[in-house]
Amino acid sequence: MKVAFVVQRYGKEVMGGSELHCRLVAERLAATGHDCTVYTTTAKDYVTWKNEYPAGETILSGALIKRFRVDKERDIDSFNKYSDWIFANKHSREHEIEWMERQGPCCPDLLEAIGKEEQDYDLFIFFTYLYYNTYWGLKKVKGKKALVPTAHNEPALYLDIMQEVFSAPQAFVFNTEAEKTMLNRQFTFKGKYSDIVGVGVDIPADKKELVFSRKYGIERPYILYAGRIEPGKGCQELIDYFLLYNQDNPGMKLVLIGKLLMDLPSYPDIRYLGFVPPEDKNAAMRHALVTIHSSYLESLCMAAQESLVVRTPILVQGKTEPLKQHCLKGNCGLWYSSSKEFALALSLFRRDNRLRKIMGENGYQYIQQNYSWEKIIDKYRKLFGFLKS
Amino acid sequence: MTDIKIDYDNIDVPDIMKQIQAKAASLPKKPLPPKKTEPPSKPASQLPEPEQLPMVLPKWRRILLKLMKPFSPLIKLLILPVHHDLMQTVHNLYHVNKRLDYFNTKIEQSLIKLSGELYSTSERLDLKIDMVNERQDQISLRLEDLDKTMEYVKTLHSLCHNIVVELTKLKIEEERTKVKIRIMEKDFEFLNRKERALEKKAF
Repeated sequence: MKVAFVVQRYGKEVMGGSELHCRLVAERLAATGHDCTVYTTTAKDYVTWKNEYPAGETILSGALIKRFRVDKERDIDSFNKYSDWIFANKHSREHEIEWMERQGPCCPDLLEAIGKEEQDYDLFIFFTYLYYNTYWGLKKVKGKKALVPTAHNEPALYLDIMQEVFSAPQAFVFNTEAEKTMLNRQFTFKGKYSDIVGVGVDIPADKKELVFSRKYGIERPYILYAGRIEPGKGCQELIDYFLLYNQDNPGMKLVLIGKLLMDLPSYPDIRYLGFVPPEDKNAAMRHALVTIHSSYLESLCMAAQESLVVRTPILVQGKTEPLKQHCLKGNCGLWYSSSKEFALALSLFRRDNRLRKIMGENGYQYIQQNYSWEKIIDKYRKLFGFLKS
Repeated sequence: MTDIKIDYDNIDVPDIMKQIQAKAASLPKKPLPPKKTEPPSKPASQLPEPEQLPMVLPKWRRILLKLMKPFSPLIKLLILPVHHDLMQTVHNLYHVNKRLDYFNTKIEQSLIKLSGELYSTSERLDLKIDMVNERQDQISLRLEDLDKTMEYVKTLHSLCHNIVVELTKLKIEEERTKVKIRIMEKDFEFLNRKERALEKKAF
């Protein structure tokens, strides 16, 4: 099958959730013999959409990438102001189109190329419902198309133009049952193909050697957060809850890995490690007491999957349904909705190693059963079969 | 925490959460901790000087205080938050240093690996260039052979043409000869008949 992917950013350095999701799927499908082409922009930064990659064609892990220049960078302050206004006031369709324009990444060359080259592909897969290229790209492609919404409950989902986005594709690929249920409240998928697929996780080699603690000077017990460190991901709340917990239960450390986008308080028990190599991240996850997933806005959470695959249970934000679903379906973690629940759940994990081990093993089994690459590719094959028929 | 009951053979997350939520609801609310890390300490001006201490101190203590007076700035430094901050900074710097060392080693390793790869790639490239040159020589030899063969083919063509012409001429000659023979045969036959008629008349 000749498959075209459309995604806002793409590349080895791009670590955003849906972008990485798209890359992993494209690379895996390419490895199984499908002809995969990715239509994307030259942007690396999702805040400004600044052109950083060179435009043109390159190949990465078997997938052909076609990059197009972004017309204008995003002025995040003005966009945020406009968003605040549009989400709070009565507005017209033109205002929403204007919002989409400001959202970006505006890439008319990409849309033109899709229109011209549509005949060369059996189907198109669009990643993320939220962006300019998905909105206009879905309109441009007349043939077979699927959407991987990677949606979470946010104000943009309730804009009227989103009805156009969700009515255009013939097939939908959801990350979790919770995402599908949430979207079903707003949109109808009757007569359309849909499946809960998500993204696969590689099982890292089981290294017995404990080098992580020595390398970074961190002693157990510690809890780990891996991902973008910003208030939008619930990190400020996590730090507050952790400090409260540590007042009564000293000796625990909070280790943070990823891009830092907020000020961190300089407590000795909060350690920020920056970016670490994947093997170190796996080791950090493997030796953590639990991993914390504090974000309110998640449709899958690959960090949680990575933690479960190394048999470390998860402690997640209780208000984020997809994360809660992981805990419930896999019996592999707990959630918190307040500082007291956070402290009690953490104390339980700290005290009860047997529970921690059982939940870790449950998590591993859950990932094997639902998110192994064989299963994911098989689900994509079914999707292709449906669209082909 | 001891009152959270868990069935280890059949872990029930909703049940554990219910127990946690019930316990959380019964706990009193706690305020969030302050954002800064400075430990609570008195300002330097509020610290009592040794002279201001009550005179009821024992003799050994007074002597000790007198002996320690030259070190009072250092002691103050140790007591004040500056020391704490200093220790914290030293701690942070130590870890930054360790990470820098790690990255340095990584970069060095990557550079060594990269230069090794570059060297082997350039060697491979040289080999490929030699191979290409060899192939070019072979191709030019083949081209010369091809030119010769083309000349031969041309000659063969003209030869064939000549043969065909000659054969045609011969064919025409043959036909002519055949006609002459037929005429001569007829002449011979006529002469025979003449001969027989003359013989009849004569005898």
